[in-house]
Parts: sequence; C-alpha cells; structure tokens
Amino acid sequence: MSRLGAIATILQPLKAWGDRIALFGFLLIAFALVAIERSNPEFAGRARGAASDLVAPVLSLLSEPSAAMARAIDSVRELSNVHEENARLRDEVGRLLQWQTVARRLDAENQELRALMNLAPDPKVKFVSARVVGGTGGAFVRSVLIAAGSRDGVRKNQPAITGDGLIGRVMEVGTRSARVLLLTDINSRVPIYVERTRARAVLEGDNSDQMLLNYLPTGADIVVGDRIVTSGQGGIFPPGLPVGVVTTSNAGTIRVQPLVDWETMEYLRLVDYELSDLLLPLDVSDPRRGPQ
Amino acid sequence: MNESVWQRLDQTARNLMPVALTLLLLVLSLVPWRLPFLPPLGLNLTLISIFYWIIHRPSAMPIPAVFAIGVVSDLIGGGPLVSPFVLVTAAAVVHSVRRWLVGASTIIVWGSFFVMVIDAVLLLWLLIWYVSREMPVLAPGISGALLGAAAYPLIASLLSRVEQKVLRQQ
Repeated sequence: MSRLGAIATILQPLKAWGDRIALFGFLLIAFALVAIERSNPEFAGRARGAASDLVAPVLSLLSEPSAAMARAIDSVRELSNVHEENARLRDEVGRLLQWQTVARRLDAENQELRALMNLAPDPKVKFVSARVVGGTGGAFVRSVLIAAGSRDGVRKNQPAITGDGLIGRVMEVGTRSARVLLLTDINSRVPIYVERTRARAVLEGDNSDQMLLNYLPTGADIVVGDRIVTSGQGGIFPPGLPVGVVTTSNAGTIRVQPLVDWETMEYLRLVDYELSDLLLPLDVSDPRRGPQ
Repeated sequence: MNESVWQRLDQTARNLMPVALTLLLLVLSLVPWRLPFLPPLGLNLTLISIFYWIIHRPSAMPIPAVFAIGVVSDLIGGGPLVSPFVLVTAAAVVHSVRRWLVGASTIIVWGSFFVMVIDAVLLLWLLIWYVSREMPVLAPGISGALLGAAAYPLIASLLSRVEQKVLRQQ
C-alpha cells in the first residue's frame, strides 16, 4: 500500500505535466483550425454537410413543439382581431383585383413587345420548398438549417425566399439538409437597386438585425421607406426579388430592414435560377465571401 | 462474465454522461424556438455545462472532449471553426481557478461564470472578426451571454441533480 502511495506521489507531477502539454497541444490545434478557416473557409464544408445531415432529423423532431407553440400563439392573436383582419383582407382583395387587371394587360403587352423585338426569354425559375429545422448557428453567425438537401435538388448558392421576400442563399449542402446564410450574416453581400430610382448598390450584413447599404453612387437619391430589390447582377439572384425597406439614412450610413422575420419563419423556398449555372464558375469560388 | 460486461457498459455510460449532456444542450441551443426577441444562445448553454463539470467533476470533462465539443458545435452550427479555441481556453481558465470555486458560495460561482461567459463571447467575437475580416456587431453576442448567465442557476441545478442521481452512485 505504501509502495503504491509512493508511486502515486511520483506520478502525480508527471500527470500534471502531461495534462499541461495536452492542453497546450489542443490550444495549438484549435488555433491552427482558426488560421485555416481564415485562409480557406471551404475546408470543412463537406464535414459541415455531413454533420448537418446527422443532426437535422433530431432538430426536426425537437423543433416540432416550438413550431406548434408558435402556431398556437399566432392563432390566438389572429382570433382576437378576426373582424379587423376580415375588413382589411376585403379591402386588399379589391385592390389586388384592380392590380390583376393591370398586370394581365401589361403581361399581354409585354409578350407582344418581346415577340416584336425578338428578345431572348428570361431564364426559367423552379422552386424547392423546405422546412426550417435549425436556428441561427451562433451569436456571430446568421444562418438556418433546412430539411432538404442535394437529393431534393438543393444546390449551393440558390437564393432562399418566403412570400415576403429574400432571406439569403444556400451556403452548404448535405444529402438531406442544407444551411442557408441569412442576409444579416457578416459574410452576406447582395447586389441590389433602389426600386424608386433604380440606383445600384450592395447590401451587406453586419450581424445586427438590419443590413447596411454600401457603394451607392454619390448623389443618389434615397429616402426612408424606399424599397430595395435584387438587381440580378452576378447571376446568383434573379432580378426584382424584394429584399427590404430603408429605415435610416444619415451621415452616409444607410440601414435596411429585411422584409422577412426569420425568428418566426417555418418554411422557405429555394429558387433554382438557371442563369446561376452559367455564372458560377466565374465568380463564386468562396460561398461565404462571394457576391451574395 | 455477463454481469461484468453490463457493469462496464453501465460505467462507461455514466462516465460519458457529462459530455453527452453538454452535446444535448448544444443541440437544444440550435432549435429554432421562434420566440421574438430571443437572442441567439450560441455557445452559452454549452459553456454552462463545461464550467459546471470542470468544477464538480474535472475528470468527466477532459480537454480532448472540450475540443471535440467545440468542433461539433461549429460543424452543426454552420460557423467557422473557432469554437474549439474558445472552449479549450475557457476550460483552461476554469481548471486554473477550480480550487477557489470548489465549495465557494453560489453567488461567487455564478459571478465567476458571468465573467467567463462575457470573456468567451469577446474572444469569439475577436476570432470571427479575424476569420471573416469584417467586424461583426457585438450586441447580439452580449445579449446571448447575458441570457446564458441568467440561465446558469437553473441549468446548473439540473446538472447537479443528474450528478447526484447518476454519478454519485459509482
């Protein structure tokens, strides 16, 4: 017993040294990972896809109660102002019917003029719908996990939308899941134009709830309330997708509020925009830093 | 013979419980709760578990496990691989002050966690800035850290119950 005690006394400092060396080694490896991420953000892409595939079914199951609770809260809220909502919807239906007439007339006119000018048709657009199963990845990463992957036709860089407007684009694709980078993420860049003036600029995320509008031409006219839509430059996003509304414009800082509330978003649609196929090899080498 | 195999399996399961619980908290922090004004939880729930186990049962939360939890966190969270550095650094700090925290009052332990979680968020923010070459807004990270600090007593008491029921029977 005393001999064992003596051995333990001798081994204890050695063990402490071993622990310290292990700690230093793991810190070194961890910092090496940080350095590699900085120089090559793509290097863990495949592992991320596989990890998402593993965790997506679990998150899908766990997200059901929260989705049900959100739906219940919405139902109660809607029930409490059903009369006002009914009146508002009747007004909206009337207004939309007028717009429908205008749109049909313009569509017919547009087709006639296109035929006259022999204009090349717009690329075809297809959609993939998916459920959001994972929330934002962390305090400084704005992305969501969806339960659809390459087997469902999801591809890297596809724009993600809801009925309200643009959300972001597909950053990583697994077999059964994919991760969508939100517009507010620090790596998000979207070429846009101001709907009223058609002035072009770039919308950038900075991890806050709103986005920054940069590279607007000097002297461009912009006011609070202006709607921002995608310009289609770069070929990733189809032109004309609504993105947000200008909320502040002072001292050269223009902030844009996204149209989509991703805190409560349950489903989204991925746009398969054929033009992106033609342009991907040219300008998208890094999905987290490429033009978004 | 059979009994010893079962005993060994049971022992292994008990030993893995702290890491498994940490991973469970990690997955829970990724669930879309769809609650307005809820800041992103990020690493904060994971940090609570790592902090708790290093103080109360350091052998159950070895550095390689902390490193692996960090890697898993970034792989399933979709972020750049910076969490292993943050978590291993945090674990090293907790190990170094552990002797003062064992047996300290709840307020002291809670206060220490508060300091650690804020420092961890600041380190994470610096690393994201370094990796993405753009300065992210810090506010969502701080609000998430405050939420994590507020959740500490509840989650620590749940972990304490698990420790008493499962691990103290060994």
